[in-house]
Amino acid sequence: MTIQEALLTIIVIICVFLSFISLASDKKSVRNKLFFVMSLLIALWAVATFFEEQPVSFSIKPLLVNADFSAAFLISVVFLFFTASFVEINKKFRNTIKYLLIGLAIFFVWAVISNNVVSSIENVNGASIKIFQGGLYVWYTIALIANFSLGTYALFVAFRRSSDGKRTQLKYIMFGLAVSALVAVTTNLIIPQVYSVSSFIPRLGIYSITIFLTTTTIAMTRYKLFNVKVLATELFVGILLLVILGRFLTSNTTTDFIFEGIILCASSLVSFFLIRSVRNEVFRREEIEKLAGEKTAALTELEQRNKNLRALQKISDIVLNESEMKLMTQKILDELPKQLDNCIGGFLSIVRKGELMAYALTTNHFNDKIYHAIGTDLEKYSFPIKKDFNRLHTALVTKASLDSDSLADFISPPIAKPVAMTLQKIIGAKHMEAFPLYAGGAPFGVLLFVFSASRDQIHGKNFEIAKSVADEMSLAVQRAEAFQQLKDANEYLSQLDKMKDEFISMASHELNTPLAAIEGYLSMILDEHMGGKIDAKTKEYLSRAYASSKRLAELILDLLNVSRIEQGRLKMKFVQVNLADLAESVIHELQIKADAKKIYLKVEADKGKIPLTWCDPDRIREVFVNLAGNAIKFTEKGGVTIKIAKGEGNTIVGSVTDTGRGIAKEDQKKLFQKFSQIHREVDEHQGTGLGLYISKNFVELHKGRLSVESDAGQGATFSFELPIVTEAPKQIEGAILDGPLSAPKVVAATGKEVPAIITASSKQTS
Amino acid sequence: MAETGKSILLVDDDLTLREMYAERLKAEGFVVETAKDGEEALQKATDLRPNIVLLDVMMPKINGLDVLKKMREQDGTKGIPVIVLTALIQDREKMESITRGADDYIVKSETMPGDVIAKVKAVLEKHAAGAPAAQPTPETKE
Repeated sequence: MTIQEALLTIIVIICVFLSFISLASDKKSVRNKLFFVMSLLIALWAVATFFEEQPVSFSIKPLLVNADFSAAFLISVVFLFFTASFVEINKKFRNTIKYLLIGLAIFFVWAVISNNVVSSIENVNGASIKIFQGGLYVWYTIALIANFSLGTYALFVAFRRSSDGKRTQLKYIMFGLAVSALVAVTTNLIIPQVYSVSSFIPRLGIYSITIFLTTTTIAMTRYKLFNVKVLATELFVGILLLVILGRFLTSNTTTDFIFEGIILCASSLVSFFLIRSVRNEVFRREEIEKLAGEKTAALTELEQRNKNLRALQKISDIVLNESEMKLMTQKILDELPKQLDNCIGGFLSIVRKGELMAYALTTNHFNDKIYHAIGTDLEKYSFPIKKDFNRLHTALVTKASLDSDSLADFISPPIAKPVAMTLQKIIGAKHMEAFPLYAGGAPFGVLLFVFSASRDQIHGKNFEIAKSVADEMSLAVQRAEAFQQLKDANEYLSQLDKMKDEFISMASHELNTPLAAIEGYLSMILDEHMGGKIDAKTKEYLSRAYASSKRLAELILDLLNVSRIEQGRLKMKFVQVNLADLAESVIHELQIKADAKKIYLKVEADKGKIPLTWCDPDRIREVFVNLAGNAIKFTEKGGVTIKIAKGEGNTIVGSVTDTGRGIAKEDQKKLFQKFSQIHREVDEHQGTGLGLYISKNFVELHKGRLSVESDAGQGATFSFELPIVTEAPKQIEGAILDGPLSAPKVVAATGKEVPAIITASSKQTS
Repeated sequence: MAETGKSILLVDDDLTLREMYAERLKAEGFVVETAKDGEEALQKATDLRPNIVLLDVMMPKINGLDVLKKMREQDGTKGIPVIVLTALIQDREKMESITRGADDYIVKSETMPGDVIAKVKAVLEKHAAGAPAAQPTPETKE
């Protein structure tokens, strides 16, 4: 056996051996399967190439050449597939390439078999051959070189993008590839063609290819377990064994054969243990290193998580503190570069009226440039929602997060592609991630993150946090929109409310004007020196008509009050007053009525002993007027006494006592109901029947109690108890607190101003 | 007290009320001029310089308060006493703002023409005595 024969055998053994190691290390991996196929093809190619140069029967040489060239091309194709598996390529593109390459492979294998690559061969020196180029020889060479070049480029790209273990792995593959390809191409293709015959340098391709095979196998099977020590040991032992194997195979005598055989066995045995012990040691050390590494990684991870949490916290704060949408989203966007590593900024677009619209952009010096490029009016960048318009749309329509290294993918159209590309360069954007924003399963916007670092760097650290920010943004925007809707609805309601109030006051004005005319004219007729004398009967009728119109006016006022009370819409204004002052003012108003009936009306109150309290003086005064007015109506002899005194506990009691006919117990329950009039039969006692109902409600709005104590023929005492309020109330249950709670007014405290309006009129009415 | 010859400008957008008050005032011997809106009121107040103005607050176009404000700004009408006519307003602060700058006020639904006469006379009397205008002085009724 010659040295060449021995080498060939070793190469074939190595190839087959490596291919199976690769397959065994991971049966499912496509990459390993490709390597398996490639290794076997290399073995086939090596055998074919070897025997082309051997003194074998010339008749099988064309077959060998065909096998050589076919295998070589198939190797190049599989190599490309293999290297491409290290790079992540767009699926669509990958499929296209796949079918193209398969087609190419079939075509050139056919070309080889049909003698279109090598037209004929010629025997040289009985062993070597000379190859004559066929019509497709040049194309064949170009395709072959192209495949290898592309594959190498793919490896280079993968190497650049990778990190740590993968990087080391690729480093080995590339090293092996470079060495073997250099040797093979030079000695197998270039030199034989340039110098026509491989006379002084043998074709070394088949031998150099083993370097690539070895490094690749190591890279794949020992992923992450690279260690110089193990490699050195293995290489040393491997070479030693190869030499011994070579000697064994080339031994000429039986003695030598046995001797070399024994040495081979012994060395194999020793090598086996040597490698095993070295590997064990390395494994153990790597185990420790791995644990240490894991610890560091865990710490880094923890740190990153903390950072992310802080970022989210910050964004949550914004969401909680800002309910106005534009302001809130802007604040979140502005926070992104501060919280996310390598983040230049964010861009938010939102669906409005069925179209995706640019909404907000992080404000920083980068985006000043964007504004400069596209103009400051972001909102004009709206576009209809349809698939594949740009990637923002795709993200929105497919509800999936998308990434790209090209800004143009996301903003062109509508922004012109060259502009987008220039923009990307200016702001230094390297990678973009777009996240759809959801509301109840329906996407309503897209948040685009722009990063100044590569995809791999971003995916490690920022992807999760970016996703969380997008989720947070979804919720926040939903909340803000709901808030806005609520605000709009509220505004609309308060508008309606205002309109209603205006209507009511308008209506009461409109009702009062004709009434004033009726009353005015009646009073003028009754005032006899104005319209001349009238007879007693007419005067009586007119008096009744006058009383009725008076009652109508009161009724209108009372009904307005009742409707406000019942809707909880009564406006109340609180000031601090002395109830004694209020009572005094009532006396002024009602004195005439009492005088007319020749009964007394008095107030009993020790003003100095009555504590001030916060209340609505208008309402409380009206309670006094109602109670005392009623008392006067029903009293024929004696009179009416209004008392103010400090009550039990923290209360003030106001009471109105009359010496009238009293109210039967059974009637008392009905007293405070709407339109209750228990003395209906007496004409002059006509009232609206709402006075006590309103009074009771007014007292209760002050958290007080109105009660009556009486019996038929006994006179009556109506009294109300108010809690003493020492601070201005913040709100009133069942009413609207009106106006600012300014310091108590002097006029209100003295109670002098209010009666003036009414006193003036009531005094002179009768 | 005889008010013969004293002129009064009565401003109200409601014809019935205007006629009613006019009649009652004429019966008292006043020379009555009427105006149906703020514009006319301002014009007549400036041209005629009445002894007193009875001014309704709720009117279309220029409302009573604007009329009052303008009257107080003009030299010729600055000193004319004004009594405002208003609907009963429960809100005291609003009432104050309405009556600010007037010599007195009358709540329409509560005041009979007889009361109006009394109030007009009182204001005129006080004015003649040289009391400064532009301050509501309800206390004097007591």
